[in-house]
Amino acid sequence: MSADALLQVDRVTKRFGNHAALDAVSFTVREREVVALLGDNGAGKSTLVKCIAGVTRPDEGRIYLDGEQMHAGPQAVRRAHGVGVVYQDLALFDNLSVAENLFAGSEPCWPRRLKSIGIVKKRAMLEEARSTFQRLEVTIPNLKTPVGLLSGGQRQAIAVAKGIAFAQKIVLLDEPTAALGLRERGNVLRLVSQLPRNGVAVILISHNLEEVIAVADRCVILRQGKLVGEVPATQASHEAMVSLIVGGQPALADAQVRQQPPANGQANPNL
Amino acid sequence: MPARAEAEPAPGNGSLECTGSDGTGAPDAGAGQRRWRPLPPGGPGFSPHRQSIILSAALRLIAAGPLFVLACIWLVFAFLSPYFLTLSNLTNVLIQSSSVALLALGALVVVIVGSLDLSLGSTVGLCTIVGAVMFRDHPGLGWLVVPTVIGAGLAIGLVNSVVIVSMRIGNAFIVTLGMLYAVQSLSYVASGGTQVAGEPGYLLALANDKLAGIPGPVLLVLVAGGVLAFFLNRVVWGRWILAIGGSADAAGRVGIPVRKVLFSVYLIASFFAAVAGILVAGLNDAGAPDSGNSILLAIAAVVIGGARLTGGRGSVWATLAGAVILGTITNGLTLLSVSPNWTPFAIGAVLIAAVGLDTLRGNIEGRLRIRQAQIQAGGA
Repeated sequence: MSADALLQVDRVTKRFGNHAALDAVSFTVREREVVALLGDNGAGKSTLVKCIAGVTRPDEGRIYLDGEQMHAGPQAVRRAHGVGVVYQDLALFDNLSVAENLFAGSEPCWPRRLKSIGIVKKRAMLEEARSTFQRLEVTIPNLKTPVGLLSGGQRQAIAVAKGIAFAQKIVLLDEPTAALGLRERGNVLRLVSQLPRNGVAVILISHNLEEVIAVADRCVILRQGKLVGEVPATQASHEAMVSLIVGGQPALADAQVRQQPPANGQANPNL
Repeated sequence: MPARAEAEPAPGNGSLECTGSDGTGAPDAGAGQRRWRPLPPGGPGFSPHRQSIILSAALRLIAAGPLFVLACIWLVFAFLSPYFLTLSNLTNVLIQSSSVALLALGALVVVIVGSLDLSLGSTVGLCTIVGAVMFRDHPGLGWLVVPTVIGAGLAIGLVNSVVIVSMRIGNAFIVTLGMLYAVQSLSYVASGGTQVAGEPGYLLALANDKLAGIPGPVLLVLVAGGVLAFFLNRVVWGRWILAIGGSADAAGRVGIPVRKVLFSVYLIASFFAAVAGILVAGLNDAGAPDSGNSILLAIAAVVIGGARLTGGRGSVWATLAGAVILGTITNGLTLLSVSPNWTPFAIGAVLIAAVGLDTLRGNIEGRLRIRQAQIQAGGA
């Protein structure tokens, strides 16, 4: 392992039945690096993120963070290790307040050692939520509002804030801008690009190559569960990215990408 | 009301404004006569911000709805019958509502995670029989009858949890329907098919005596409601129950032990059913196999209390108000000499009205979301 490797994914394999969603995928992320994870639908990006996040247990292979092996387990443990995740479908609780969403699963409670049967410290939770949103420069009018009553952009901002707020080492973002308008997309990208400056590395999944080129340092490309290439995230390598993603001739490949319906049914104008 | 749903624009549809039908009319919560139409920027109408405040207020009113509805029903009956609004009659209403109220608390916990437990009704019956049989056959047991009865109730909940959660037979409706019959059968077996007269004296005292002027059943319901409300609102485990009701999938991903929490839910519900059984035993001074009907009344109380059957929303106090609404209807119609044959009709009508209120709430929530989006698009 190289000296500055923060996250090392070592020959991770995950099968669903006979189908290998991930086939011996290995790559590393250095400190303060923004790595984009690219690939067509079904290439295994989300599965890989879930493995790194500890939600899914890989069938084979290991994942190291700061040289320490990570096992699948409760999210609170990941959070304690400095890993934050923003899921594609946001994973928000519409019936809970903004503040509660931020802390769901690791609520501050009293007495602390009682954990799951302790009493939630609501005021502390509100105050911490307020300062967190302030730090991230996200404006949420009322932290007691149920998240279900907020607009799409606000919900997305909360999901991103929830993923990055407590991450000290690395943040995993699974298509954080897929459902957003231009302005909101800009806000999320601003949050993402702030992270390396605060010493946090990023793994970003996106279908939007312009966006990847704008914020990422390096691209890791998956196809049918295999890692097929790594290229620097520059305008010059745009064509190489597309070619690796679909595995065909660049021109034809590009056309296919254009026809590709996005996974979530949202229009994706930049492809 | 005009067809609002058809006029509902999708969020982020640009500059849509909502105005009163006359363009200047005072804003009100009952937005039925308003129409949606696109307006140029800076056109007439209320600012999205003001609108969102008004809609928030309307939402809060609906959330407090069951208490409001209860007050209205009491007012109507007070006008119709001079006997209704007397202390003794209202006390009567509360005592008559108490067993359904306790059962509704149990049903509420299950409804919050988006499930149902139909077996709670016959659990009540089984608990009254266990109490009476223990008292008859082992009079020396004394207070130990209470933990035995609670244990019997929890055992039913345990079977539910094991079958639904551990064995992953996800259809709680069918499983608990099966348990409703199985538990009923157990009650008949334990009682020999008939009522078993006689319950321990302290259960009679609980049901019939007063403490500090408050009748025992009312006190029991208040204490049980207070405990459950505190648990659901302030305790981490209780918040997890709400979170799972909101999204079980998201709950799993933030590390909430979803299956453990779900396992506990059927146990908690059966605990409240057992407490209801203890109360019913005391009120009747007998153990009787329940026909299982009371659970439907309890679920009606939960729905009238504004809980959402798909999970994630439900309030203890509103549920209790729902139970008292049902008790009030029964009591009020009797006072008015309406044939008791009409009581289920009235209950059905209130139930359907409650669902209507919930639809209205969903509508207002949708509008509020659009307003928020407009504030964000225009302001930030």
